Amino acid sequence: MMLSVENLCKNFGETQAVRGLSFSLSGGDITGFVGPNGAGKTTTMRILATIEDASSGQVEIDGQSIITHPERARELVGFVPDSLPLHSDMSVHEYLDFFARAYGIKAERRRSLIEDLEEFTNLTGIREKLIVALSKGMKQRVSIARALINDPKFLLMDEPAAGLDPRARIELRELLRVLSRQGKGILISSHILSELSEICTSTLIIEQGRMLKFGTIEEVTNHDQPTRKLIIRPLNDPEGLSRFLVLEPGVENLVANGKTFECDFAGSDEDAAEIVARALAAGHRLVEFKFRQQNLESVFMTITRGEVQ
Amino acid sequence: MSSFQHVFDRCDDLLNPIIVKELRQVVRGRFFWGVLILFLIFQCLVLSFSIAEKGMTSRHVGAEALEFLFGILFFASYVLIPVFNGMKFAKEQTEGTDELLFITTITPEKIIMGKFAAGMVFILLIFSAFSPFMFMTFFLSGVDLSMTLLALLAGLLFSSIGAMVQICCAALSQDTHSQQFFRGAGIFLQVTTYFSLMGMGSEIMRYGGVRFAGFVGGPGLYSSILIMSLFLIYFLFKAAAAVIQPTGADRMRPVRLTVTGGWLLTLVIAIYWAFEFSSARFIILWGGIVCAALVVMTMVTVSERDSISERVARDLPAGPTGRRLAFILSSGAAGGMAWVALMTAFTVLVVNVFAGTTKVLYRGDLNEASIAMLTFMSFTLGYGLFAVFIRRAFFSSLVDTRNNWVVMLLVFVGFSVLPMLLGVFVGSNSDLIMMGNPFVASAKLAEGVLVGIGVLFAGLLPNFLWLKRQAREFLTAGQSDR
Repeated sequence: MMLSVENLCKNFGETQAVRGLSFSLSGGDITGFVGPNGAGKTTTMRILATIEDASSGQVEIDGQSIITHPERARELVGFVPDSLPLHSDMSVHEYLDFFARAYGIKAERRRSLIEDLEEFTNLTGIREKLIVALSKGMKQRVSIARALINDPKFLLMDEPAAGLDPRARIELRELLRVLSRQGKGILISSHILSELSEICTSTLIIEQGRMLKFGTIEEVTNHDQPTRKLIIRPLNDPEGLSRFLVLEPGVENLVANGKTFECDFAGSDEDAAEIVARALAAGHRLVEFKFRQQNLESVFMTITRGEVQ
Repeated sequence: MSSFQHVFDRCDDLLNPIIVKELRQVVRGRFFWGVLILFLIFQCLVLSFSIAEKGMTSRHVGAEALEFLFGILFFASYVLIPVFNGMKFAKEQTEGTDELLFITTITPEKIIMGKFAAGMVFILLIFSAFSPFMFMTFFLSGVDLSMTLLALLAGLLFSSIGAMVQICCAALSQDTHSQQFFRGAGIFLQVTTYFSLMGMGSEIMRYGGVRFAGFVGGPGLYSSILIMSLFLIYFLFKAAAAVIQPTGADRMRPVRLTVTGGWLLTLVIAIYWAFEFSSARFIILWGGIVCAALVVMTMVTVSERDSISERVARDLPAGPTGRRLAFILSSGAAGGMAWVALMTAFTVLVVNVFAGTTKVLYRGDLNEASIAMLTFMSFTLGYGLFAVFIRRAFFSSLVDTRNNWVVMLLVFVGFSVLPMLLGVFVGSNSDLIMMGNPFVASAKLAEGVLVGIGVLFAGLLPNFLWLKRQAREFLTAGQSDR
């Protein structure tokens, strides 16, 4: 099962909220959807959820266009919006029952389905409580349970962790992992990038409606960077190693940090291996020689400018 | 599973989810129980006072009590419940609570039907609580039982219309500003029509049905009112469902089809009454109502999108005739204009044919009426086209297409009122100054129609390429894929 987005655009009057987005999601993938406020994340999700119409472009789920046949796509997509359920005078059970009815699920199946969902999302104990009386974390669980009613193949989650306490966040993360193992593709937007990199298999970074990066977390954090941070720790003779390193091709901005050197390195893994070989041949003894792993946050800060439309 | 449970489940599956939700919410809320208990206490008091007063002051004490009780019942069922229902729906619309419903497999028609049915359940509950009290007034003096029943049925029918009007107003509420505007308009309409209908209801109850309706031949009148009321409910239902459809959907096709059907249905009723009374005035009245409806439809049309959406293109027929028909009926500003023009032409034609082929009274008025209709609609279409051009050329970033009806209204008012004010300012009351006003021009017949057609052509000129592009889009959309 594959969700593919091709050259998606959305205009609101003169404002271009989404400009030519193209990416794809597979079942079981958890893709982090990252971008500054106003980047077009919510608009994209609303188009994928068939709430908004695209101005142009194509979105297909298993070859089926959601632009021309949104009613078919609705059976395959679940959407958790950034707002929590507002039905103040409905209990959790009534709320889920209402949406199950709206999906046309028959009474017998509906009963067992809602019970299963309540159990899965840990809502069984509070099923008779009014939604208005629930905490944010619990409301978010209700929202997720609602999005799972039609057993969607893809789950779109807009800022599901916003405002949640640490425990609720950890529980949400676990829930997403379980859903991913069930084969559901998940597109999740969040501003908490450290959490995204923990659970996501891939990430999509956008700004001003344009895609800046899309790939696995490793691809996004390691590849296509002009330089990488290199960390080198010699066993002895740091001055000698320093003199050796500044003459090596690709090494820039060498800084001594105690006994450890840090520098920007513009070269491939092979080039780095050559430096190691030459250093050893020159008699330097190395304890540590590694690239610092870039995290999503630093990539995000490097490639986005924080501009809004 | 027991067979009872099986049957219960089957019945449960047939229920509209919106009704289940609304009933659960309202039964849990205080509004409905408050209204019910308050009005029951009120009825008990009114009836007690009436019985205590029996024979002392008036021999029509029963009729007076009935009238009073009916006023209260009708206020609850025609004003309070529909307005409450509408406000709740409008709040859900603006908060986006109902938005998630659109990603389920439920249809907009089902949503509107559910809202309407839920409102009707409460109206029926109120009626069933009030009816015994109302029939008890029979034991006092001066009450006609058949008229009580008729009043109740009429009350129920008009309350149904009221409920649907409020749902339609609520469906139009897309944001806080439009919510305030349409809610205000809806409440104003409901309250003013309440007093008009109550006046008529009092007449029926006081003087009896024969005196009130006998002169127009009872069953014919009742059937006409019933058919037109049911049509109005159906039209409002289709309109509300169209409004809550996603923007790319073919919203207008069901609405235009319904209005076209209504045009035919009301024409049949008007012809029936014209022959019944041998008077052409029913046809003139019909033409006037059609023109008013077409003015509203023009305002809707100028606020429609001017390019074909993928969802509309998906459902276009393959043949050229089907495509031309789809162009006129489906969502799209140019097609909508063509539909209004076509309906105007048919209306004027029908009025003229009726004038030429029948021997009813006031036949001569028909020719004048058809010219006035043509003039008025030419102005309407012309001003609509001006509005489209003005928005497109000068305010495309300021005014959203869906709000273009406001620009049309301003153009209409501007051309109608400003020359009049100018005339006052320069001290002239020349007819020429007033010719921009469609009402004045319609009364001028020959000169008026010439000016009207001139305005229409003036509107067509700057929009010609815009109209042509849309027509071509409909005729060629998706042909490379086929």
